[in-house]
Amino acid sequence: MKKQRNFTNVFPPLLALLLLLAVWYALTASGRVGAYMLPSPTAVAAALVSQAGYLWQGAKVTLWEAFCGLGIGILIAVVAATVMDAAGFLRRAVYPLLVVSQTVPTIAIAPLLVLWMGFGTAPKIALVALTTFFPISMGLLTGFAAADPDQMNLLRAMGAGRRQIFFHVKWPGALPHFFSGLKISASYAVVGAVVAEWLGGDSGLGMYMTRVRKAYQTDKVFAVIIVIVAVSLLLMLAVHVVTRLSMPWEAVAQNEKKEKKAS
Amino acid sequence: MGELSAQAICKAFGEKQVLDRVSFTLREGEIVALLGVSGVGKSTLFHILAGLSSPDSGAVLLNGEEVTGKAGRVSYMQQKDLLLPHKKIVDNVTLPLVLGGMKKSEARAIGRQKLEEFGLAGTAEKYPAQLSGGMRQRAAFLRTCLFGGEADLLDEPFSALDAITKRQMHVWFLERMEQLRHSVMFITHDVDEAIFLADRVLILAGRPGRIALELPVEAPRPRDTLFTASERFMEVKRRVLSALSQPEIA
Repeated sequence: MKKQRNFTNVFPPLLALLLLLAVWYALTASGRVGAYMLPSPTAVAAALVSQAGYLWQGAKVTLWEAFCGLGIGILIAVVAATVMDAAGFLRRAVYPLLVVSQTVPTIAIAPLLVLWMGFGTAPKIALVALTTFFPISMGLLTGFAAADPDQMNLLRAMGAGRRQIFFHVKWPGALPHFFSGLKISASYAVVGAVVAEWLGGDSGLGMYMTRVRKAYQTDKVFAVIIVIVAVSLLLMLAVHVVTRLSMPWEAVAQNEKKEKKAS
Repeated sequence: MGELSAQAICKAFGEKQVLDRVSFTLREGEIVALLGVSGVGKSTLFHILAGLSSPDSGAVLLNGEEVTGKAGRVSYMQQKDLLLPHKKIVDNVTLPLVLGGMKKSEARAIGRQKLEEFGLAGTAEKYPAQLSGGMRQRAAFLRTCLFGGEADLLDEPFSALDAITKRQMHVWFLERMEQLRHSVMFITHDVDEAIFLADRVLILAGRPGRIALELPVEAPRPRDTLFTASERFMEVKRRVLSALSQPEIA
């Protein structure tokens, strides 16, 4: 039963992917599109193999930057959301600024960060942190605000203080919101690191991408895009695993619902 | 366990007077039912007794000491079971111990033992979503007991249960009370439930709400279900129903 469901879930996207590859191959094989415009899938595969060493080196650097940036982003988000939740005045003062700050395009801030912090990994990590902290802090704020007043009253009636109410009710209650924010942020993190690398530096997938793009080695551009996608997926998978491990009760509740429906 | 008394408690929300000079005493080891129609201010009264809000005038005394507006002195079980969904049952029921500063491992040891006593063996490691309504209610009651306040306030403790589970819970509750001897005040809409469980029935009625009737049940505890068919039960029920049907109460 379960196997069958897995198959029906995997089959449609797999079919779509194969179709896309077939159309792509046909287009390049027809000779109407130059290889510098659109390389054939086989050329991209060949580039992936021949460039594996460079790509691996670059992926390590970029993933590390994304990981550090995301970590710092999480830290800032948790602190900011907690402080804003505790102090209503601060929330009202800072919240609009935060929202506006998100309309500033990443690509515009990146050169400034390079200017301020040099060509090392620091500006890359900073850019990732800047782009990832926002969805997480918004998620947390929503979660804190949605805390059940009855549950908080229950703890107050037991003589609990604000800190205890935060750790026993507000924080665990906000976790699902935190993780849905984190999921979005994880998908931004790798892209943020790549964008920062475009603008300077001597390592990472972004730097490699700039180099091969300027040389019109389109097959290698495609290869590096595939690697970026893979690295992003890897990070999102990690977030998914952490989510499941951190909230075992969510899985339990979902199972209960399914069983009730089935019976 | 202690004695809880309300003295001339008045409370208004804006223009609307909700409680008018409500006074009563819950004596040590006594079970008192607070009966009344919806919206008469029963839950508001319990919030005040639990110290979660302050009355406009009047006082709450616990063993003679004024505790008006002080939370954390009496055990308060609200209408919903309010088990925290992210905590295992053992951690839910021992929450008051942990809040009081007990080490988690110590609290869990106590919790496991108490769960068994409360007929909840094998649920310690489960989450609230995995328990039936009756079991959740029992867990919420155990949590209330472990808080160890001087008196228990139970806001419609059995209202969420189906009729059969409810009857089982009534018997179970009275058995527990034989051992625990808590001072308990509970809110209910159910006249039969009030008479079956309580030593005394208070009717809160009118707008604003005041104590309209105070009626001792005068039947020894422990009671079994046959009590609901006895003369005494019928007589008390007649008096409660006639009081409830008076125009100034409705």
